[in-house]
Amino acid sequence: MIRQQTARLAAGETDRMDNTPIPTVEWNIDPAAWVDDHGDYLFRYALVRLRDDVRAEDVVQETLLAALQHLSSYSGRATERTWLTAILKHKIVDQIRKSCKEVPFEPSDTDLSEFDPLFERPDEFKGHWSDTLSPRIWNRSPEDAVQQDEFFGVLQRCMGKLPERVAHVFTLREMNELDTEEICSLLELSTSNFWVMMHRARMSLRRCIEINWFMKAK
Amino acid sequence: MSELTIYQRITKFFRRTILRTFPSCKEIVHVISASLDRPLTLRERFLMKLHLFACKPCVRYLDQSAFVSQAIKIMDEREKLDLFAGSLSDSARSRIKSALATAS
Repeated sequence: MIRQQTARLAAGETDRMDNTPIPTVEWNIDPAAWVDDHGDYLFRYALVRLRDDVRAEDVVQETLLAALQHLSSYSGRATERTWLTAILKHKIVDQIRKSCKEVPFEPSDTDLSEFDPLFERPDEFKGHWSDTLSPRIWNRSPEDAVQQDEFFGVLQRCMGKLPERVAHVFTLREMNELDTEEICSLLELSTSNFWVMMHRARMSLRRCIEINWFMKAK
Repeated sequence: MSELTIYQRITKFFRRTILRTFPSCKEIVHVISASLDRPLTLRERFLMKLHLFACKPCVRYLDQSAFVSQAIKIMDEREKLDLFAGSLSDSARSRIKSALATAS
């Protein structure tokens, strides 16, 4: 009976004629296969947040080791991948906290003077968008852009141009969906510095993808 | 036809008055950025709406920044699933495997 069931499972779910529920993952847990089953997924998840291959590899290792230690806490209710990803999220936040501790807070992180030329005008409308540097009507459609790998390459390069701490603040907010207070206490930031850095990231990214994607001819 | 021109002239007059009297684009873009992250105060909402009525580039700044946010989230989803975004190097793969084997 047991052998029959194993054989059926080995044959894959496609052969199943009945609608009996698929056995829970609880007894399928197999740490030896984690690297092959979820390694790349976890690595990419970490890479897009940390933008550094070595750090991303490190957090994947830390995550799997931590998971191994806490195997008993795995309830089997979430899928293996969801469970590992939840651990990874914590490890990424730890990693970001550490790397922000290493780099002292730069006053330039909250310096917005690079945008001053965008708001310089010869006429009486002081502080309004310059005619030549204001946001343009884009040549290419945003709906098309998100279908293309090249666009995300441009977006990544634009993220890479942000100062490290600014990029971390922005990704923590946009991707991990931590709230403002959590990020501020994690990175020891004042709320006003947080808002300035978010604004800086938005200004830079919008302009960068405008120049490098949306105003370029196809 | 001439009535439309009068309407346009009135609108133009209001727009210029708003731009001259109320906070400039340089200040309003902070509010627009913040609007993507948190609920605005009543005062901020009023100033932003008023300004957006008068200023087309700021409307574009809002729309395009909202798109950036959306694109970041789409990138996050795609990166996890698509191989183009990279994979564990062979050395890291074997290092992690042996670390796991030692620990278990």
